[in-house]
Amino acid sequence: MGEVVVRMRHFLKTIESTSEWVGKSASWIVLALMGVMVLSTVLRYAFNKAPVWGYDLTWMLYAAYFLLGGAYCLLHEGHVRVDFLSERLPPRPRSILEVVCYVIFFFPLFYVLVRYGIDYAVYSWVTGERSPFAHIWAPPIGPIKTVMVIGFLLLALQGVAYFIKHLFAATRGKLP
Amino acid sequence: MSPELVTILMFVGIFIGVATGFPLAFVIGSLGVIFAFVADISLSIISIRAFGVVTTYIFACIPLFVFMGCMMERSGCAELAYGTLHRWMGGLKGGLASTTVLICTLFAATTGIIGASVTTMGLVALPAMLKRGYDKPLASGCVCAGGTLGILIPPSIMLVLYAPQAGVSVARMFMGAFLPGLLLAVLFIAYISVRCYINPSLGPSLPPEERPKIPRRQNLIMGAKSLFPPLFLILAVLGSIFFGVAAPTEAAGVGALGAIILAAIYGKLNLGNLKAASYTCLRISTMIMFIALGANLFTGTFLRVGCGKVVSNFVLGLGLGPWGIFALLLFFIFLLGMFIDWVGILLVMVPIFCPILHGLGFDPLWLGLVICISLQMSFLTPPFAYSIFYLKGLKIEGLTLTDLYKGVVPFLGLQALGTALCIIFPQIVTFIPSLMYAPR
Repeated sequence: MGEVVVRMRHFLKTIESTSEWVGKSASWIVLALMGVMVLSTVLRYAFNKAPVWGYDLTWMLYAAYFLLGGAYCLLHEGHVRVDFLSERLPPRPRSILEVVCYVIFFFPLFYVLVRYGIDYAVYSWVTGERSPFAHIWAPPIGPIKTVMVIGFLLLALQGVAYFIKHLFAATRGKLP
Repeated sequence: MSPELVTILMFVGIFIGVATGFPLAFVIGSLGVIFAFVADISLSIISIRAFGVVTTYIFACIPLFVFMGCMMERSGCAELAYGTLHRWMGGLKGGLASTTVLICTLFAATTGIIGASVTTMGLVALPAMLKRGYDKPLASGCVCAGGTLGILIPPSIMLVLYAPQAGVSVARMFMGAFLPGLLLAVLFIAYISVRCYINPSLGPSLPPEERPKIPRRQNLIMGAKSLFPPLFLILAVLGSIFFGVAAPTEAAGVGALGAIILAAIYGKLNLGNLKAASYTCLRISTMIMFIALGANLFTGTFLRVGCGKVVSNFVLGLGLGPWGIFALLLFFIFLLGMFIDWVGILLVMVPIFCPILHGLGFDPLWLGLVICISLQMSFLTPPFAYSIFYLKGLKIEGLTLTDLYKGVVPFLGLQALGTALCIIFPQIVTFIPSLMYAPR
């Protein structure tokens, strides 16, 4: 029994440190985004024409930024909750409620996002689909769709970690 | 399943989901997925919708403005500016409370981040006011209310989120929010001053011996040093949008760089601050974007099943007339504001209700701003009042929860008054956008 708990702790720790590390790394994308914005503004004034890569690079960086940050945000409980009711519950019923909520409000969403996201990304890779927005540069769109799936997957894993924690707390009355 | 039934179930789902205290983003997103499944809509559309949020170019503003705010907060410029205005206005009755509102208005750029100004002012201004014997509800109320101004006064995340939903340009919404934001600030300050002049014990002026004795010249120079750089940054960002020199995303990028430079000027640029700003920015931007994603999945399914038509038939069938429906919407938003935070209200309500009002001939720009102005009340309406939560979280000695609740009541009234003024005199909203450089 004890060994299972040890393994579980190890598993949770791995997920948490992954969320932490990916999020912290992704958080610097905001500086890249800033650089792209500043550079393309300067170039626009210097050459009287916005650089062709400005548009696509901007949304792709912003997209990678928040998609890869999702798990970090969940890890640090950053996703806003309206918890003035649930915070009055004692710890154990609260964990039970949380377990139920993960089953109803979390897993269906991320199952669909990951499952269909994979098809969606594979399609773009196979057909060599390119960005539909710009007219000249048009980068391939497969990579960012892959990032989308990875982001959702990491967030789902972080959700699994919390689910297991609360399940443990709900059944044993304390956090692992 | 009939559209009517789905409409009811989806709304009930939101209320149950929100009441459980589970993250709002996942609750609404899941409801979108579950009801798509129930209504037999192809689930591959969910990915397409998610990708639609991912590719919304204008949303790139959000992390940049949030970063600008986080960095400005780290630069400590609000504290410095508070010190200056404290010296300049401390002699007035209620001067410290008015100063608080002024600082919140000036630094609205930093406060596009939810709660940042309530926290900053709660730590800097509130203790100063309490020490001088200010009335507790008045002191805490002006911090809470002042803090909410930031969410409206541009650059404002709320307006960036609203604009693409209603098909209005972000730049025009920014400019439209300018006067209403100032109007609210003026109302707050006027209220504080009038009350303190009638009853000086509420907000006594600093006794002359406590006013710092600095030569006037030095006082002015020190003040300029603390006020000019952040003011310049904020005005440069807004000005470039107003004159069409830069698109909002470009202005956001340059503003973020400006905030880093600002931190450097005040000697606060180091790896620690950069890291802290960066991580906070990630958490806030991600939180907002995931609600946007969830809301998009929710409203996508909702409208696809035909629930939009159900709601519109129901609302139009009430026989209230355009203004009656408008009033109903505002009341509904106010009611929701007690329980849900503004991001959720904005992103779920706007795509469902605004087409009805646009169809009745309301100007989308004006309507959007009236909604955003009234949404400010959601920060102050209990039981779920953000501003009060943040202030409560600071655990300031001698301040009870009752003081906090009592404090926000008059300011809620002023917000309602401000909203009413913008409805009666739509020019308050539309005047500046009408002067703007036409969008390309």
